Amino acid sequence: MLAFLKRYRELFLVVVLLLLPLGTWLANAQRGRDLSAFEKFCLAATSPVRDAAARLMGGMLELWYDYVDLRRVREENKILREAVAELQQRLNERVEAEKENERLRALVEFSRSASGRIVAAEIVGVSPSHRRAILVAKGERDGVRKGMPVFTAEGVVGKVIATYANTSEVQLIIDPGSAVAARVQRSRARLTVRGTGEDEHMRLAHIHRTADVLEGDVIVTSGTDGVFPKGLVVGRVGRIERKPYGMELEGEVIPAVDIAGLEEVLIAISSGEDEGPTAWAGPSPRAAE
Amino acid sequence: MGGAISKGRGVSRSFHRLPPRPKPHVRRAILGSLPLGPEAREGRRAWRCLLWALIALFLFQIQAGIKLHLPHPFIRVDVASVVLFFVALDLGAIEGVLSAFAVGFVADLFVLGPPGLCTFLAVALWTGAHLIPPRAFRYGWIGPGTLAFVFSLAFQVGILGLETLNRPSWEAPGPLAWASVVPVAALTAVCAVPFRSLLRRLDRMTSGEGSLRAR
Repeated sequence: MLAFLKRYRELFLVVVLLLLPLGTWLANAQRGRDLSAFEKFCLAATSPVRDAAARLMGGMLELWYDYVDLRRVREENKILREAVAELQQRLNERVEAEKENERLRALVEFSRSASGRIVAAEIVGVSPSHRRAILVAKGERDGVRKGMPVFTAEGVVGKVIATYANTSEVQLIIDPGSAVAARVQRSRARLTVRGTGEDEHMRLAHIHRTADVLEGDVIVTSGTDGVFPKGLVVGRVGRIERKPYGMELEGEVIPAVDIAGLEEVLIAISSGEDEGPTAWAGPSPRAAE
Repeated sequence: MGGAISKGRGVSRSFHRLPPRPKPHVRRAILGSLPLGPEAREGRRAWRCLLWALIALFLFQIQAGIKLHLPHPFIRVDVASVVLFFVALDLGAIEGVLSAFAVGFVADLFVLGPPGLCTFLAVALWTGAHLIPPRAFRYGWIGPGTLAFVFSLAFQVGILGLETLNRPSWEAPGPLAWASVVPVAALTAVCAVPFRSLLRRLDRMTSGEGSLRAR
């Protein structure tokens, strides 16, 4: 019997270890589970392992999520940059439109004070030669003729020197070949304003050295040259040099118009070929300021 | 020899003439019906069932910590099957069945079903594993991987099936638990094969036989 048990000890052990838990399970299958003190001890003693694993896993996941977030932020940043660039572009367009609107409004208001016909023209080009001239988008089809005055709400710009079907070339008052008959607005002293080729200043000419001219005086067109209507602002008197010799006064005139910043101009079109230049009510309040 | 050289055979032919090492499944005793042979001292190593149970306990706790952050029911390793896979294939009869019992006991702590359920299934699975034919080990990692998958599948289906049988319908495992069986078994199979290698190394270190023990 003992030999039999010894020979089949593994078999007996397996049968016992199968039946023991099976019996336990069948006896407790319908009941809830209550952990014994030993089982609780086993779980409590090894719980630091669980905590360490949870911390390690949490750290790894946090690292991963940080990386994913970083990638998302990078992509989001790119999208936002594109959106900002687009909005900036729209804002620029809007600001540009507002400024254009403001300029055109001023031109319209200014042109209402003239008795003759006035057309607005956009500047489409600048002369590539040594001459200080611009090309405007109004030509013979719009009634523009050679010799017509060109100006803005701020003051005199120049005169038309050549016309084409849809465009015209305008000689600027700063061109060295330009001469504008003018007066000192305050003292009514007569003079001529000549261009120097520079944007910042022109020069006084044909004015007696004893004439009543002061620095800062407003110079307006006299209307005697048959080109510019009377009363348009040409500029302000800048530095004056009164020499003890000579007949004429020397000085410079600062243009009223920002030549470099021009975008639109007005062209005064006479009602007929025989009529003189367009009559002018007077310089605009803005220009006289 | 001259003929061997003319046929282009390797010079280490004599090495190949050595008798092949016995495979673990050849030496494994089936329910004690086979002679134990060199495993006669196995009874002295029965204490190591506590070691395997402790490893299972640690693995369960690690999984509990990981599940805290990955609560998806499909992302889980059937820890009991991982350890049982090694216990059933690599340990002798006495140590093996005691270890299976201990691992099942640990699994019962975490499954929180009726006491004895996992223990019974673990011993039953260990017993069933001895019916695996030797040719199942011929195909590198594919054979053990498939076995581990079947191990885990059987263990999980056993738990869910017995729970379903012995509980009212409203307390029985839901469809999600059943649906998770296959993905969990697959994940378990992926982990079980390399983990078995680690446990075999630990087995050699603790057996006191070192490399002399042919496995």
